[in-house]
Amino acid sequence: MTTWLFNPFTYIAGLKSLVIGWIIILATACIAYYSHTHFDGAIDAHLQLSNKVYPAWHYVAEPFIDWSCLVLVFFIMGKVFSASAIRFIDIAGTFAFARWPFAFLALINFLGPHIKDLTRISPLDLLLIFISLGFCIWMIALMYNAFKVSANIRGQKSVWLFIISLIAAEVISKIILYYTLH
Amino acid sequence: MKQLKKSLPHVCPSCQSPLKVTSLSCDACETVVSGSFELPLLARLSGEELQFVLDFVKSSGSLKVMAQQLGLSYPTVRNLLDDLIQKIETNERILKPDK
Repeated sequence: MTTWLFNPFTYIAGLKSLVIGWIIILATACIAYYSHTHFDGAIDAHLQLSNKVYPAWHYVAEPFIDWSCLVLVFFIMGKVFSASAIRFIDIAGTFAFARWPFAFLALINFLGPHIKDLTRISPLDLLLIFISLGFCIWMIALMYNAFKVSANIRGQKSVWLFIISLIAAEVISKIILYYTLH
Repeated sequence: MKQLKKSLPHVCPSCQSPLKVTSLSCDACETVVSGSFELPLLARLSGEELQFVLDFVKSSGSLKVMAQQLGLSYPTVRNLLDDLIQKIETNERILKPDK
């Protein structure tokens, strides 16, 4: 059960996980449209507090741009640092599948939290923030295992490469999202 | 009584050096051959690793077929194979340090 929750890539990778992952990303985008959740970075998820109306395609484009940046960075890192013959489809598939905790996060945003003043945080807001944080950590753990399995990099090397790649993907996705959607 | 499954030891329990075969015997006529023989590289693998090699050969070296048969993903099977290659290469270096 733990393997299925944190490392399903032992059993699923490649095209199968890519198709499942894309369905998850699309479903998440649909939920995000109604709960006004923006995935404005590779590992970012924010609740829209302004009344500005964004077109539906924004909500679809955001997670796909995030995923593309992650795949690009991690594939390059894998190609450079892995001794194994890694496949692009494995990185693409596992990283798409790894985004499924964000579907729950988009769902949670139907309940709020609606924090506008840091001195007025309700217990429900606090609880929702912690649950959201849990889903973010879960997704990062899934992405780490996706990288480990797809690129066959282990130990300290995998941890450092993962952190560097994640930061690089976050920065690149932020830049691309800024210039394409804003 | 429960049958005890014995596994072939590869390293010396005292100093961890690779073991050699010094005696072979025939069950039928009880002839015993003595000497000093190297264990083949494949015989130095564990039961699970040897099974992996057999499955690999039986599936004509197709990792996709193996992944389907084992119920694992393609990269997981490829990683297992890479681990095995690394172990064989390490064993080769230990057995032939001059090369």
